[in-house]
Amino acid sequence: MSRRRTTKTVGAAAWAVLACAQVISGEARERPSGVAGAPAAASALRNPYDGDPEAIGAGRKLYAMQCAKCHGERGEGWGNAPSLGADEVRRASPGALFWFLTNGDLRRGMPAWSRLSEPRRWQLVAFLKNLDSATK
Amino acid sequence: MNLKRISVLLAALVPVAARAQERPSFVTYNHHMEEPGNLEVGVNPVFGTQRGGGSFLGSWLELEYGLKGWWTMEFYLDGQTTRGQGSAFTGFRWENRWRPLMLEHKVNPVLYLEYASITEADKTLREIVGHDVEASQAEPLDVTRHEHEHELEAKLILSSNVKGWNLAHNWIAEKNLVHGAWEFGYAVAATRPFTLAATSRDCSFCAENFSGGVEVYGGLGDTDSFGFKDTSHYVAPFVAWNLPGGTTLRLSPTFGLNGNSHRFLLRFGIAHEIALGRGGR
Repeated sequence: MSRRRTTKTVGAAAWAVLACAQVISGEARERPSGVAGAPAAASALRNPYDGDPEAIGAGRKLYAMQCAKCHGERGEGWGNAPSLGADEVRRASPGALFWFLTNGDLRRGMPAWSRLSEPRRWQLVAFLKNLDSATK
Repeated sequence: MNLKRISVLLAALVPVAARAQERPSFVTYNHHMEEPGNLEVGVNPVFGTQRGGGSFLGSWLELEYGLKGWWTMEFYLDGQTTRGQGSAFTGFRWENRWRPLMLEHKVNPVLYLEYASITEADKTLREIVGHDVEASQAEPLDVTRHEHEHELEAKLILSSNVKGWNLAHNWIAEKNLVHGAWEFGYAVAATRPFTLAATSRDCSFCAENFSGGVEVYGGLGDTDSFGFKDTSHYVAPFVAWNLPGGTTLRLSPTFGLNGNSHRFLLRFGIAHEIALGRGGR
């Protein structure tokens, strides 16, 4: 490999590392932790399953499969996993909850649930917004 | 230490079946990481036909652990049986995957680094790189089991979620640490759950528990001869069945796309996820 080509390769790699570092620091700077970090546009999204009993039932099943091992069967929270009855969660808009489920909080241990399809995440949100009545 | 504290500690040590969804594709990685605190144990046999040699059954035992939300570690033990030649343990691999970006983006990068200590007898075909071709695997087991390799493998994983589909691209660079050039390869996959929304009823054999798709992968030569010449390529539809108890079954018939490829491979996988401690954080 010629010296010029090596310089170009090293330059491209350095540029890529700097670009990544900028995005990472930008992400950290812009985002408060938790549901509060949701952008306004995401918070304004409406849940297409709002109030749908079948979706709430599906959300209950998804919650039991994916979330209950950390947050408890009734959302009471455990260890680092907060209670889902906390004010921050109860007051959050469906859109903000959807955004938080999608992105998670990887540094604090909350996985990104983007592995679940969008309809399933909205079903989870429908359940969470009805947590009190749905778990009774 | 009071009784309550002891019971909390015991609860934290008891493994709980976890029910996260395992990646359906066998070769192509996406940006979805193992949940922190979850351990996945899996076995993945691959049956292959071999021109000029005996058909074989390669297999890897996989232990995958979510260290952090952005960091997953895996350890593999590989082995194989070749018809008429016997069986052999072929080595181990240790891999790490990191998500550099903490939020979801249109394209989500993951950095992958693997160290492998394996023999030439390895037939797991977990990735295809360089000039990996069928003919090079026809050597007798008695010869290849003594040819030891130390390899470093890096991948750039790019993954997107689009309208219910996950589209993933892996670009692979592998280097034998003792000699040889950098070898390159690729893998691409499109995956989708059979149904996007869940139902409220509990069920095992229902469409919402299945996902499937197709992956294409192959070699791209090496630093001395980059390109498609003398490389092998495969297309592999796959299907995964996530059982409610935390077990995932996977199946993938794989077809060689050119004369350098094995004509047919059949991959099968069974994996079970365990949450090591409640919350696993």
